Amino acid sequence: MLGIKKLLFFVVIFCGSAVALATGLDDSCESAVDAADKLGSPISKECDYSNTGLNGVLHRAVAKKEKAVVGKSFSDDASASASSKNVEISTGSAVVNTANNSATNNVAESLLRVIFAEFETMQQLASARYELIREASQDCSNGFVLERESYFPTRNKLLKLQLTYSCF
Amino acid sequence: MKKALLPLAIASLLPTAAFADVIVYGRANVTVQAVEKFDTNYTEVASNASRIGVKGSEVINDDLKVIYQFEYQTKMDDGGSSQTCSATSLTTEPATTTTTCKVSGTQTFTQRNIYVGLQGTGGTLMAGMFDTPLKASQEKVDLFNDLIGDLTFVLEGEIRARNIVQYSTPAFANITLNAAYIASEQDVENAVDGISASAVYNSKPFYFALAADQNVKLASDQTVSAVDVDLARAVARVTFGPVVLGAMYEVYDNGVSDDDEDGFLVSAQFNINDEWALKAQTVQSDMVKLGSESSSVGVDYKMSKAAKLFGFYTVIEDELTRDDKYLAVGVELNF
Repeated sequence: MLGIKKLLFFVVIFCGSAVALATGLDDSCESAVDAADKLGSPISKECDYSNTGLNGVLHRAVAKKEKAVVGKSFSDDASASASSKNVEISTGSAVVNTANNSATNNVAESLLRVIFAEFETMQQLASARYELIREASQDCSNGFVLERESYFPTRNKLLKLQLTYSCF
Repeated sequence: MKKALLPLAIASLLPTAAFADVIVYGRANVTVQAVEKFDTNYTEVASNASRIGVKGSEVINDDLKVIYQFEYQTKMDDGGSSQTCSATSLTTEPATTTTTCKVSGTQTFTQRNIYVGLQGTGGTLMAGMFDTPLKASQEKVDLFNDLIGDLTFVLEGEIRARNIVQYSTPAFANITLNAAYIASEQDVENAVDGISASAVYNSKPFYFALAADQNVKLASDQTVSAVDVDLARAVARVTFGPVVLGAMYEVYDNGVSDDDEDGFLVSAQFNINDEWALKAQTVQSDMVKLGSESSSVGVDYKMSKAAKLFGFYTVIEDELTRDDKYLAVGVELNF
């Protein structure tokens, strides 16, 4: 009985081999749990698990948290500025800038504007920069030009990204 | 707490900086099995190594980072595996004793692979409790891994060692070398430490590994022994388009009997299309029990990239007591 089972098994193997096509493997990423079975293997740069399953839910939740942190930074400084949209207007620079612009330009739109956000990690930097650029694009309906990108240390040991831009 | 709030609760516990490179992952695998065992027939629900874990890294500089993993297994079917029995003597004639056993779900999570280590251009050094290089060398050759047809019921060497330190070289020409030391953590007569090592070649269509253990189980279980226990394993996997063939051969020296014992596994998987796959596997050896053999056939239906339905039929037998049969259907979700 055992011999028959072995024979059948090897028949299955060799029949399978006969019809096999020598094509490559599926290049799609394996699941995160299978990747974790490879102990100590680095997280594959080609495989992004940040948007799948429970992991995706957690990453999105944290992303919202980071976004809230960025918004809070705006609000804190906005209290000292004239803008209710979390955007500071650098009036000192605006005078110089206005003089350089053509007469057809709208005076308000030619002002240099400054927005900023605080961050701690590389990933937060990317997120903060994206949020700031989106903020600027919403502020300038015809587009904008980035005049300056500056970084400053803060009292709470974070870094502050400050974008200076002007609208077209 | 509502289940929907669980991810947010976990997220709130993690600082956003630390969460950047964290992967939360897991597997839910449950089968309903018709069992024929010792001339009895019954139906059981089994949780097959269902688990949840987190894995990540903290970059120190361009050449070095700290890596970590915490993985825990949970019994999805009964919540735990502990069983307590109590015996009650009755003062009747003739005297009889009644034994009552109660399964309780007190052990929600059990530890699986857990480590912390350093990873850089010079390789990976990590310590904790995790699969030995020999166990890890099986890769995906065991097509019924974590199920009743798992090779662990027939072959030796499937050890998740405690108190283990491992160094792995960087992959060079698809080859990785791994060496691990398992501390027995005791200074008594015949206490031995364990060693496990492997050499692995892994490309897309081919996988080969050679591995060896010495006294790993003794050291991990803190068991004293006057003799050495050695194990050697060779593993191969070859992919021809939709067909994946696997084989494993082991030689085991328990230090007691004069002759070494050997055992083998062969497996084959035929991927009919992106959704359906047929599998077959047999494992044989005298290592765990005399004349032990496990043979399985199965079918997988992939519902999505993360979920699959599957069924299998497994026969486990040996020359002494066992001739068990399992017919099962199950579902697996990876996340």
